Amino acid sequence: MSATAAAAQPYRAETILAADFGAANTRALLLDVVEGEFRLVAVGEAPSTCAAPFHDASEGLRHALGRLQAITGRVMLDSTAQLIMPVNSEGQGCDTFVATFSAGAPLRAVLVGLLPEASLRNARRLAESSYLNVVDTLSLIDRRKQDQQIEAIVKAQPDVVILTGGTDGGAQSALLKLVETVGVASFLLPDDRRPAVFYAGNQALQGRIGEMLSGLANFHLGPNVLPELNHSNLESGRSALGELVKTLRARRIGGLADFDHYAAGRMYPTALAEGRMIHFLSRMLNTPRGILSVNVGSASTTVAAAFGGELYLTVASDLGVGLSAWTTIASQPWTEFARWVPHTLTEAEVREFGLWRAVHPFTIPVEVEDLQRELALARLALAGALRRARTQWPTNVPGLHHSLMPYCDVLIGGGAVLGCAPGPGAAALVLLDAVQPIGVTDLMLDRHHALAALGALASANALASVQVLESDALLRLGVAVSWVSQTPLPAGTPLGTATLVDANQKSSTVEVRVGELEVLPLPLGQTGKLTLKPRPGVDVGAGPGRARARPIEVDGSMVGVILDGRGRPLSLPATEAQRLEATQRWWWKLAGL
Amino acid sequence: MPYLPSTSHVTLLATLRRERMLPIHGEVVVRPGQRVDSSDIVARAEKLEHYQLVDIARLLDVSGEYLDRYLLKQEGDEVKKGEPVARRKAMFGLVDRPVTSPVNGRLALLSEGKALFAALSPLELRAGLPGEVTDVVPGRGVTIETTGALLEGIWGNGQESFSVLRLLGTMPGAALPAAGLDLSLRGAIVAAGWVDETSLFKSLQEIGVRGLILGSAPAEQLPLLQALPFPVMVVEGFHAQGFSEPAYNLLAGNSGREAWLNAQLINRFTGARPEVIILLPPPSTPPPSPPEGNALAEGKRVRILRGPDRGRVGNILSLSERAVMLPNGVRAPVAIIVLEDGKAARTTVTVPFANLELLE
Repeated sequence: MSATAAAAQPYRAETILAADFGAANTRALLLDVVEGEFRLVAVGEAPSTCAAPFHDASEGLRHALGRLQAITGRVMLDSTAQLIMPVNSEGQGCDTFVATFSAGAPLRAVLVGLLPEASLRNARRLAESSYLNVVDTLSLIDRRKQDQQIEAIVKAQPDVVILTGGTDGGAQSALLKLVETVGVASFLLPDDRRPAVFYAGNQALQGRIGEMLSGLANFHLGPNVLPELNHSNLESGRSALGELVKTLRARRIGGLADFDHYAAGRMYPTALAEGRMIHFLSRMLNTPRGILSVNVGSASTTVAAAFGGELYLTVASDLGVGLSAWTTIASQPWTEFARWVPHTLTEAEVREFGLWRAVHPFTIPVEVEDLQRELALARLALAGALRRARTQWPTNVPGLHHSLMPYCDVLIGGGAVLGCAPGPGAAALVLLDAVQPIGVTDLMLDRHHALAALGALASANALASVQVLESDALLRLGVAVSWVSQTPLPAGTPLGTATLVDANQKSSTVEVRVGELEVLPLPLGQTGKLTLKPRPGVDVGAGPGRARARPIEVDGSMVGVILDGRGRPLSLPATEAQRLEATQRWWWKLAGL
Repeated sequence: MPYLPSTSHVTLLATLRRERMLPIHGEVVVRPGQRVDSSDIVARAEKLEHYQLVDIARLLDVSGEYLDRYLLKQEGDEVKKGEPVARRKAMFGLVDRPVTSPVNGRLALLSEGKALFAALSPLELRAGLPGEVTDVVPGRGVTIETTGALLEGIWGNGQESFSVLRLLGTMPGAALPAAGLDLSLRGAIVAAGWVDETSLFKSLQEIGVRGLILGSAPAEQLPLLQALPFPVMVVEGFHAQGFSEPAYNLLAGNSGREAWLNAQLINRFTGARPEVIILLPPPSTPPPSPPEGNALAEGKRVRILRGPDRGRVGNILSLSERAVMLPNGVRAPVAIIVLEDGKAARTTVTVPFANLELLE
């Protein structure tokens, strides 16, 4: 979908309902035409009922719709609790329904490919784009004997085997040997435990492999993810795998199949739908720089990045702030968590926090210190997911240094932990700390999970999707500018100045120093011109010591222009006393609590 | 609109049904209506140890398509290690080439002259919970029904046992008393608020207890608890807080009774939680099953899960539908809770819905 194509679509005034079935919450988003354009009208939210004891998505959606009705007065369900479609003469119901889902335990996946650096790498990229947990991999360089490989698959009891290998018209016999191993393992599993086999390899072998696995496994076809050497084709593979994931999830979570029917098949894994929107944005903005979305959930964290119109989608199924809180904390030294909290914590306190959050994943912080721990957990999940995502990203994208984040024009944060943060500054601070963007970046907040809803909606009503995105579906947090010195400088050293001139020609100038955050406020709805004057050797996205040729036009936002002099990679003061002082200062500067 | 919180069971008397399922396919050896004791086997299966592939055709020096005529065992047959599974005689019987099974188990698959042998070991599923078999899932397992008290926990080390429950400590927050550890506890499931001396774990092991229920356990003790050779369940939390009053009272009232401690791992997706079921004689009218999935409502008993009053128990006085600003600036709908202990200066507290769990 392109912006031009979207604009060319016939205008249809319709009421749209988008549901999101998350691990912690179920959301219902109402989109409708307001003053001639589609807008996000209201959001209803309720605890998810996809897991025990309900195992049914319907109850959670019913409650979310009840809250939506309380806000808007609009009735969505009839007397038998069925969705009213299309809108009836009393103005009840909706015309279009779309849905996304991330609820449920990650599916267990075994990856099979010819070579680790070719087909298996693509299989992994495919698996990491959805809610899968890779439990084993098989390839030609696997040192295990065939009987050991069979045993590994049987014991792993995977839900899915992703089978890749061979360019189109390429190698056959080696791949067929691996298929034989998968087929035997599948045969040895009981009927109700046999995995779905998703084949995304040499298209010339589709029929042959289908025959080999006939009666042994549920065979699903996808496009070859590596049709030619050095040419990956993940986009359609992701969509096909998304369909399979939907089918498997719908078997475990009641009601999902019905909602997919209401949605006329437009129910997608949340990460996939989010990725579609980021992909679309990258193409619409036609920028070689990155468009990045990060979403921290209770169970998983999603990173959707697009560079030059190419999407890179990564789901860290074991990193999150609720159900996955313990694995998130255990994934790194405990000090990585404690460093972000502006009070001193012991290892026991960190571990206790992680365990408690995992046991009670849907609780919320009440006190400031607890909120700071919650946001530290979000940073940890985000940073971990980004590390994984970046292994998949291309190395030739514009950036300051390959070890740092590539330049990103837009960074969108999402997930309940960021959306519910008490002020936009707290969400902005988490994004800055965890992502550490380079140069000039627009920070946005997806408070209502709108990105995924719009991604799901795009195939049904692209115009609505674009109009809602361009309206206030995403909250403008601010414009972040990182000031990176080529050489280490002592804390407090001036890095340069930034001047913001608003539409009324009112000018504000601030000096940016090493280790400090500064803010130039510019309220929502206003515009301004930002002039950056870095000192020699300091980069603000235009090269060391180079000011931008022209002032940067910036839009007003919740926080304003955030000038980050804390360096990249962001380094915290060495002593505990200095660290406490600095993190508290940054917290006050942006979160103001 | 109703708010559906999580539920934790501290149930004094209920009809309890528990599924006992094999991890793999097997055979159920009991029937519906049958009464079973804890140690009774209800299902059996063959657990896979490993596979071993043998190229029989190559060893016999024959083509795979003619292998059938030399086979002594067929696909699916049971085999013993060293037992001939194929034999080729040549030269008027002077040359005898047997191929023997490399494992005790089963000939799992025969294809193209090759045999895949599965080394198997017996897997027996015991009832664990004494009661009546009310349902059988062929090949998988059973549902067992009994009457008793139920206490759910938040952490388990993955083991289970059935024995007599013994509560040590005279108050909910009391640590396991070292002086109370003696051989009279041998074979018992011991319950205590918490353990302040980790050396006591070794003492419990030496005495030969069959289970441990702790009100709480500091996070750093969990690796020790995980390694203990008997089931361990933590009920409340991960620091030195002990039991809540309701949990302590339930255990105190049933100390000396037989109990099934199933310290299974918690799983939010499936709903599995560690638990102890204390067997009680059934009253004339069967008690109801523990309630599950109820909404927050005035009068309901709740436990506070997060915030300054974490761990405290009370009853819901009222529920606000509108979001209220919390001390940290987060906005959320809240409930007014009347605390049960009432010892603190405040007897009512305000708690977000999300931080409450029903105690049923």
